[in-house]
Amino acid sequence: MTTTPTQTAAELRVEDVSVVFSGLRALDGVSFTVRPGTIHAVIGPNGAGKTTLLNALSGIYRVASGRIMVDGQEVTGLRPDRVARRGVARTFQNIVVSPVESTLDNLMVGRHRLTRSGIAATALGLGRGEQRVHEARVRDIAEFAGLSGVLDRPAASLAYGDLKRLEFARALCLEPRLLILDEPVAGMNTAESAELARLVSAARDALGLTVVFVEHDMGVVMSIADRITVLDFGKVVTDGTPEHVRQHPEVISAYLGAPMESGNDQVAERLS
Amino acid sequence: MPETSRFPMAGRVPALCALTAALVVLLALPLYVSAFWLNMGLFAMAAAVGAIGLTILLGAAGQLSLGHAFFVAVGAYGYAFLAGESGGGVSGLGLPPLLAAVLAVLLAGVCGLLFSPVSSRLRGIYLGIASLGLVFLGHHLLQNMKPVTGGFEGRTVVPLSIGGFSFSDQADVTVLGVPFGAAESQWYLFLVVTVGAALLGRNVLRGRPGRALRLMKDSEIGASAMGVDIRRTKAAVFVLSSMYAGAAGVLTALAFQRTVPDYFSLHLSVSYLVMVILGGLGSVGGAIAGAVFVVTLPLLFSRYADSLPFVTGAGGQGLDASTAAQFVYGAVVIVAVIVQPGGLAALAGAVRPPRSRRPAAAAAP
Ligand SMILES: Nc1ncnc2c1ncn2[C@@H]1O[C@H](COP(=O)(O)OP(=O)(O)OP(=O)(O)O)[C@@H](O)[C@H]1O
Ligand SMILES: [Mg+2]
Repeated sequence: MTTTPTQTAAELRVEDVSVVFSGLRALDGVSFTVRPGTIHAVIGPNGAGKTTLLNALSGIYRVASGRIMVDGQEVTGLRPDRVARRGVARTFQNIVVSPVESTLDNLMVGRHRLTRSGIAATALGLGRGEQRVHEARVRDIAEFAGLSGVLDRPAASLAYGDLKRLEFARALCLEPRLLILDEPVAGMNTAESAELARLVSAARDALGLTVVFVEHDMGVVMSIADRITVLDFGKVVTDGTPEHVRQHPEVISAYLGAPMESGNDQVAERLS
Repeated sequence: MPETSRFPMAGRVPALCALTAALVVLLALPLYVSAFWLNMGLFAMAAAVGAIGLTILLGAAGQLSLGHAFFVAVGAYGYAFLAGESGGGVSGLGLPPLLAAVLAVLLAGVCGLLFSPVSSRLRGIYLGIASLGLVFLGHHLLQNMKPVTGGFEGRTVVPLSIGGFSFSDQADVTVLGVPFGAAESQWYLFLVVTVGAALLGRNVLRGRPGRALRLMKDSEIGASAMGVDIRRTKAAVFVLSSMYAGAAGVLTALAFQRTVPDYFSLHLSVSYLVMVILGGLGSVGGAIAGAVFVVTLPLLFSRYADSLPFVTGAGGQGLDASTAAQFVYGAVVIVAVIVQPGGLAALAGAVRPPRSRRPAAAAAP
């Protein structure tokens, strides 16, 4: 994959965002800022509102109040496809792919916003040139993500770890400026997790990305996050560097009972 | 580079040979078989064009339509009205038939577009129920807009003509000693339209829109996160399928040389569904195969009623041919749905609740 950043990483500002589901405040006045080109983790126990936050960021959930700014431009209330067009890509906690489609075709969907040919042009065979150009780039990204060997296989036949990498690679195919990952290593073994964590920071370095990710695996969080926001009951408990979060009394008392150590499996267990 | 691309044609050679052979047979057929078989082919090709549209809508996009018959009717009557002359209680614009045919297809597309406030908001089976209304609306209009439609008796259809050549019995052409009447000449016309419709449909399904449609079918949220405008895409694919239905309508009118309202009933919509489900949802070749099967079976049954058990000709004591055919393809649909999980999954996808705000898992581990 090209190692020169193809674009500038985006800054994300979340300002006092609340999301309400029929009375339940799933997010309650959440604020934090993600500086361009950094990797930002969101952690917290089950039901804390982490996925809800990501869904609000990508326009899937409507926010009840507050603002979401990408590079100083408000994206609050935009439909998901509009948010995607602003250069925001994401993966899902529960893998979302077309099971019968090949890996390559699943990745090519990621080029949707970068390509133009509509139904009429495609019907007349006019989309082929564009498709070739984009397919070359997609193959590069697949190689970067370690998917070259399974490009022609239907997604349903992929191993779980490959499916997780497929979603990650598809998000990269959008050439995002802000990459959102919901539990990218959940269910992977230690070696696969470490490899994906390496891919995330390599992608950030190579492509000029800002990354926001939710993860229960504290080993991964501590190893790649520049900053961490801790959520509980829809509220920000604390926000800071991994060092800061590790020492924070509320984090310690809420989840740990003891200071965190990176890569501590016990910690991961309690958090998940 | 994956090794499969080193000989990109290698796997396709047998398929290409089969396709070429099929094409040669299809081209030579009018020289050898009688008008009965050719007419059966015309009906099958007309249906195939409509089925391709429906398989894109239902199979790829997961959008159910029971209103397909309405758009077929728009194409058929649109052509009959635009190309027909006034007289005998009906009016017509008397446009050149080729122009009328193109306009009739566009008219069906416009009708599909007018339905987009509905087609862009509903998904799956909910759209199916809403589109059901179109069939009844259509039937009412066909019965009552007498000057355009001819009422319950219908109206005759002007044969197509291109540059002075008429695709009818009037054309005084003989090829290798075989007189080329309506059936023979239309055979080639229909073949060109069907092959064209299949190629266009295949391009759509293999290209950018097809990929977006298939992800949308599995997860609207997933597709929209990739930048797919869901409402616009749903409206567009509905318009496309309406235009295919319109083209099928023009062909149907030409093949029958007459249009009658009773033909464009819910039964026709259901027949189209049977074709695409039998053929395997989302497959152009499957839609064609399904159309051939569904159209030819009752015709074959009635032709061979005497030599088939249980089936009798008109006035006999057994099953009449079309009922017998319905039993058979009813049974085949059940078998197909059971042994072909793809079809079942697509139908199951069509019954998911509308506009779920939760990201749906398409391939949960
Ligand atoms: N669409 C929805 N409708 C109603 N309630 C919802 C919806 N989505 C989330 N919630 C509720 O909001 C709260 C936060 O859920 P969320 O999925 O954001 O948690 P999470 O932090 O991602 O948890 P996990 O670690 O288990 O993924 C939960 O109480 C959940 O039940
Ligand atoms: Mg979650």
